[in-house]
Amino acid sequence: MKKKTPLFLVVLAVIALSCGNKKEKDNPPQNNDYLVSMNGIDSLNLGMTKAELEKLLNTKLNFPHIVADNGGDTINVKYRNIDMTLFMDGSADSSATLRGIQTSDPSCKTAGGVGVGADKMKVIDSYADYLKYVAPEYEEYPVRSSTRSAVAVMDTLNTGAMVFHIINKKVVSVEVQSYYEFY
Amino acid sequence: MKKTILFICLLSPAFFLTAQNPVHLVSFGGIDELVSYMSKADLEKLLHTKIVFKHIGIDVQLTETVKATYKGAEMEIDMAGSDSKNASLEGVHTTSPLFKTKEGIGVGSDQQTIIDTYEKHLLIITSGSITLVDIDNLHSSIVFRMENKKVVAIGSEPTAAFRDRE
Repeated sequence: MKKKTPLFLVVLAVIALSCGNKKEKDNPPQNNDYLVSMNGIDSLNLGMTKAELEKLLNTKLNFPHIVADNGGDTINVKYRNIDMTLFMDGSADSSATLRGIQTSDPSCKTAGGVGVGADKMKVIDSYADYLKYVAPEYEEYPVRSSTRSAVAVMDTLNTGAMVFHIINKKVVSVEVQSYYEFY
Repeated sequence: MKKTILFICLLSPAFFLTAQNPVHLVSFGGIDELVSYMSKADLEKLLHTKIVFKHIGIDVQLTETVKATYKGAEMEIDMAGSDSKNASLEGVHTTSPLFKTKEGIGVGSDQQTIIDTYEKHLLIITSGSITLVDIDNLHSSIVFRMENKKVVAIGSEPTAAFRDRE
């Protein structure tokens, strides 16, 4: 004899499934998440000086390329136990300022909950009214990748930008830049 | 024999629909034979009509959009020049679904299809448009005007974002 599934169990299953989907879609920032905005990540703000960064990170920073070449520098640091890459600009060690920040840590998210693991389309849909550049990244110059891309979100060109680096349609790292330039 | 007749029956509607509504190509260079930098004289010859400007050669305005019918579809043609004689085609747009990119994107296509189709290209997305930039020549682009994530018009024009970039 065929057993019938009680109706209330079906209703419960539907409710449980829909709750699960909603959580996955919205994925709002939690208390221990760090806010990513066009100005920076948490207390790391674009434009910060070397002295301000050293105070915040409680460590001494060295910019070997800025000292040697008067160019930019890229350094890896720990911020609240999170791995961050800092991109510095400046022609002298003392005048160096923070031009960009990048992290692959999933606890760094935008106010809308977009961070590592989010879908490429979610990034695009979350910033419907913003200017966005969606472009393949280089596998090795000049070969454009078919799996690696970036979505840059900004108010207008020449303003701060959030760049979501993507592999196979999922965000793998988040970057904040003082301006975005496609190359 | 039955199979042959069935095959012909299945094929016929598609053939006649295509024959009645041929699809024309939108590329980085223009729409079908309406190509970038085409002179006013060549345009008049192709469209079998006289183009009369209201601004170019009359006031200080160096660009002007004129409306024309091409292959049965309404076109908005952007002209640029300092006078009527040296004006040339800068961009062209249409709302007709008979004009599509070689990948089949045209009026009615949705945002996700465009993003998936052009993964190896640069897309510039605003609230009202998606610009597909020729990645080998950043100055040329195909523009999809969007409403509710659907294409409502398609065209070809110079890429505004790279106008001043070498």
